[in-house]
Amino acid sequence: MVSQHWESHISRSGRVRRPSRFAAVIGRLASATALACLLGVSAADAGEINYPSFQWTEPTYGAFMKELKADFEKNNPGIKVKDTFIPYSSFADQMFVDISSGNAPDVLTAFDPDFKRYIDADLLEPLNPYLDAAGLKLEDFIAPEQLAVSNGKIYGIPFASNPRALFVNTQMLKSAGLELPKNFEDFQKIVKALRDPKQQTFGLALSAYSGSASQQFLEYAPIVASFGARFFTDGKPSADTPEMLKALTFYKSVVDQNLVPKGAKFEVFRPMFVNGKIAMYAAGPFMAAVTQAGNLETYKNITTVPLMLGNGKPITVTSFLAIPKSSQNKEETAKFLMTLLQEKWQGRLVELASVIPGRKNMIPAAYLKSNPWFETFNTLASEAVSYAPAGVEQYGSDIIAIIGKRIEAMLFGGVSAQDTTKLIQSDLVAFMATKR
Amino acid sequence: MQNDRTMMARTNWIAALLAYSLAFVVAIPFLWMLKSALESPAAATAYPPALLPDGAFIETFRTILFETRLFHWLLNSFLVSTISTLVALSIGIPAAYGLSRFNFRHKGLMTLSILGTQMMPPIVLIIPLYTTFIKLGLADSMVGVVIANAAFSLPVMVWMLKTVFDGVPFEIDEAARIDGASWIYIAARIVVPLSLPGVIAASIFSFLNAWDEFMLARTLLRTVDQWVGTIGLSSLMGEYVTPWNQIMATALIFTLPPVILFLFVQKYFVSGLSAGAVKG
Amino acid sequence: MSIAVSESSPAKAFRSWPNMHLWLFLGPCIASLIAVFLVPIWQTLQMSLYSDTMGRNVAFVGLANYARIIGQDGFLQLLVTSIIYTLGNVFFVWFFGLGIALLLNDHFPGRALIRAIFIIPWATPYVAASLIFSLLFNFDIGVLNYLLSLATGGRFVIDFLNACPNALISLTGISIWKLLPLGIVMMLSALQSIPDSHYEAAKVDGASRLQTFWYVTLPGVRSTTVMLTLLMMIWCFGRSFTAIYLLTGGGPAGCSETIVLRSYLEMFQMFHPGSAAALGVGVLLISMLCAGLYYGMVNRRGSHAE
Repeated sequence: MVSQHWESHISRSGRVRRPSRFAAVIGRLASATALACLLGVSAADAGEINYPSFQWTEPTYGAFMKELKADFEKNNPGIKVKDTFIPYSSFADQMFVDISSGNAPDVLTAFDPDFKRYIDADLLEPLNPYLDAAGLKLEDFIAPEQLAVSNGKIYGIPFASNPRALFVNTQMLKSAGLELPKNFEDFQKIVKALRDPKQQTFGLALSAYSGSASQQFLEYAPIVASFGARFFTDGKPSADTPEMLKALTFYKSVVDQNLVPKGAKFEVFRPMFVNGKIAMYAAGPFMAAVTQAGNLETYKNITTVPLMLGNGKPITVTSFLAIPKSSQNKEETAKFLMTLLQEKWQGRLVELASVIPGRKNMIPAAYLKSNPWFETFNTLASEAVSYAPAGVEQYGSDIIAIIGKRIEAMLFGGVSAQDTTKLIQSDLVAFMATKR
Repeated sequence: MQNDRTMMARTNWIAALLAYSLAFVVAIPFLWMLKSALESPAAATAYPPALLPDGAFIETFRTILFETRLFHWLLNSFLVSTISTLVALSIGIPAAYGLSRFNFRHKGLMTLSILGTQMMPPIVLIIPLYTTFIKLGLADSMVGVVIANAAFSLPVMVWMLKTVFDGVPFEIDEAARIDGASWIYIAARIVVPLSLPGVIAASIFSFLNAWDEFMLARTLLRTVDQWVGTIGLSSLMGEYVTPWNQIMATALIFTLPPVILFLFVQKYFVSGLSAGAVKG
Repeated sequence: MSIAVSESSPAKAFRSWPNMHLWLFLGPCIASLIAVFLVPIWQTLQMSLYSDTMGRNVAFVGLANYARIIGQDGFLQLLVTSIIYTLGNVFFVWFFGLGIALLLNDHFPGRALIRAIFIIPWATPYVAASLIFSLLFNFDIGVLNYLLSLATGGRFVIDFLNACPNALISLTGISIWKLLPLGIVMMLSALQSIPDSHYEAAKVDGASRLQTFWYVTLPGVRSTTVMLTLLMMIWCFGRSFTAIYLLTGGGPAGCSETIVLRSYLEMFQMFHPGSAAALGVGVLLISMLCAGLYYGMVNRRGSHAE
C-alpha cells in the first residue's frame, strides 16, 4: 500500500514510474523472502510431492518411478512429484535427519526393521481413509503387511518385497560333477568341493567380515532362517534352540575353514559371484538383474532354488512407503500412493524392477512366462516372513546390533557356536527386560 | 634460484632415495586407485590380482564423464573450497593477528575455546546445524556449504596463523608502530607477507578440508545440480552394486585438481622469504 | 625496514580504543564460531538430557542417557580403543610429518613432484581411500596378501581387518596415511620459519648434524609441534569415523569401535539421539580436559625455558 501511494505521487514525473514499480516488486519479494526465512517455511511448494529416494537413478525401480511420475503428473495437473535422488549409502541417515529436524518428506521410504519404529514414534499418518476410498483392505497386501499396522490403523503400504532364494551358478556345479542341492548335506558338499584357494573360488558367499551389523544381518539372516532358527518368536527371544545351534555351527565352520570369502563385503562377493568365482549366494531377485548387467555368460547359467537347509520359512526384505505426519501435502501424496497401488502400476513394477509388488496376486502372467526364474520368488513370497525380529520389529536395529556383535565374536573372536547361542539369548532377554 | 644449482651438486642421495621410496609407499593406494580406474569392472575382484591394469577404461570414463554431472560437481567443489577458504582467511587473519599481538583478559581461555569448537564430534552436530541452516534459508544452497566450510576450518586456521604470526618478531611491529603505522597496516603489509608460507599452509588446509567435506554437504545439498564432488562420488555406490572402476576413476579425477594446484603453490614454501627478510 | 608512515594516519584515532581494535579483529571470528559451533553444541547438550527416542514427545530425563552409555558393556573398551587410536595418530603423524618435512626441505631432483605426491592422501576423498584400502587389505583376494603368500609360499597371510588387534592397527595406519600431508605441510612451513642464521651459527660452533637437529630444528618447530599434536589429539579423538565405519564398522566385535563411531551408530542406526548426544558431550569433556592439561603443561615448560 505504501508503495502504491508513493507510486501515484511520482507518476506525474513519468520517467521514474517504471523503476519505482520495479522497486516495489523487489521490495515485496525481499520482505516475503525475509518473512519466509524468519518463519522457517520449508522450500517445498504446495502441490509438490517431495519424494526423496535412492531408487530414482536405479535402472530398475528408477525406470518404474519415472514412468509413474510422468503419468501421474499428466493425469493430475497442478501436482508435481519432486524426484530428489539421495545416494543409497546416505539415505537412512538423511531421512532420520530430515524427520528429526522437522523437515520431513512427503513420501518416506523405510525397510522392515526401521519402519515399525517410525510408527511407534507417532511420526506417520494413518492411511485408512485413503485406502478405504480406493477400496483396498489390509488383506490385499502381501506379507509382512502386519508391520504397517498399529492399533488397527494402517500406516504404510508395502512397496516392493525381495524374498531370499539361493542363486546357483549351475556351470560351476556341473564342472565339478555336482547336482543342484536338495538338502543340507548336498549344500555342505558343494561348499567344500568348490573351494579352491589357488584360484580363490568359493562354493558359497556369506557375510564373513566385521562391519555394519544391519548389512551383515541381511546376508546371514536367510541362511539362519532356512535352518528353522529364529532369533525371536512372537516377541520372545528364541536364540538358544537346537536349530540356532546347527545354523551357527555351520556358519562358524565355513568361516573358520575359509570356505566363504573372508573379509569380503557385498561389494566384493557380489562381483565375484557375477564373474563365476562363487557358486551359491542367497539373495533377492535383484541379483538376477545384477548378474545380467555384469556378466551375460554367468547369467545364462544361474538358476534359483529355495533355501533347503532345514524346515525354516523363507524370509523377505520389504520396503514400505508412508506419509509423515508433518507432510504438507498429504492429500496429493495419498493420491500418488493410491495410483501406485493400481493394478496397472503394480504389474509395471514387476516388469521393470523384478520384485514382488505390494498387492497380492499382481504378477503379470506374461512376465512369469518370459522370466521363469522369477517363479521361485513368486512361490516364496506367499509364505515368506519379514527378516526383522518377529513381534519386536520396532527394536529391530537394537536387536540386530546385539546379535551382530555376538556373531562377530563367534567368527573372529574364538567364541564357540554353543556359547554364542546362549550369549545371544541372554543378551536379548536382558534387552527385552529394559523394554517392559 | 642460482643457489639451487650449487645445492644440487651437494644432493644428499641417501636422503633423496629415502624421500622417493617413502613417496612411493604413500602413493600405493593412489596407484591402486589409478590401476582400478583403468581396468574392466571384473578386474577389481579378480584373483590373482593383476599388478597392471588391462586398459579397458574408455567405457568407464565415457560413463562418468557424460552420464553423470561430474564436471559440474567438480566445479561446485572448486567454488565451495575456494570461496570458503577466502572467507576463512578474511576472518581468520585478523583474529589470529589479534590473538598473537594484543593482550587482554582471558586471552588464554579464548585461544583454547576457539580450538574447543573442534572437540565436539561433527556427527552429533549435524542435526542442530541442519535445523539452524534451514531457519536461515540456507538449506540446499551452496552458500550454506560455503559458510559452513569456512566456519569449520576457521578455528584451526586461526590457530595455525597465530602460531605463524607469533614467529614474526614483535620488534618489527613495534618499529612500525613507532613509525606511525596502523595495526591494520602492520597486519596486512608486514606480518602476513612475512609469514606467507604459513598463510599458504593454512589456505591449503582450508581448501582441502572443504574439498573432502562430506557429512554436512550431503545433509545440506539435495538437488543434484548443487552437489559437490564428494556427494557425487558416494552416489555411485548403489544399493546392489559397487562399480569399482567408475568409483575409482571418479576419485582419480577428484584427487588431481588439488594435487596439481599444490604443485603450483608449493614454491612459496621454498621461497625462504620469511626468515631471511625478518632477520636481515 | 622502511615503512610508509604517511598512509597510516587515520588509524591514529583507533589506537586510543584498544577494545575496539580487539572487536574489529576478533569479532567476526567469534560471531561465526558462536553461530556455527556454540549454538549447535548447546543444542546437543540439551539433546543429551532428553529422552532417547526420535518421537515428538521428548521428556527431560536428566543424566539418564549418560548413565545408560557408561553402564553399557564395553564402555571402557570404547574409551581405550579411542585413546590408542588417538595416540597412534598423534605420534606418527608428528614423527613422519617432521621426518618427511626434513627430507623435503633439502634440495634434490624432482622435489616439487615428490612434495605434490605427499599431498595425495589429503586430496583423496576419504570414502574412495577407504574403498581402496578395503581392496588392498582384503583377506582372500587383496593384493597385499597375494604378494605375502607369493613371498612365503602361501604359508603366511595377514587378516588385516577381521582380527583383533589387527583391525585397530590397520585403521590407525589408514588415518595416519590420510593425515600425514597435514603434518608434512605444517612442519614444512615451520622449518621454513627457522632463520638460516641459526643453522649458520650452529655450523660455526661446530655442531654435529644431530646436535643441530636437537638444538636448532626441534626448538624451531616447537610451537608448530604443540599445535599439530593438540590438533591431532582433538581430531582423532573426536572424528575417528569415516574409515572405521566403512571398513570394519567398529568390529570385529567392538575391537576397533571408537566413541565417535558408537555415537554415530546410536544416532543413525539405533535412533537414540539422546545417547548419541551424551557420547558427543563425553568426547567434548574428555578433549577439553586433555587439551587443557597438555596446553597448560607445554606452556609452563615453555615459560620456564624462556
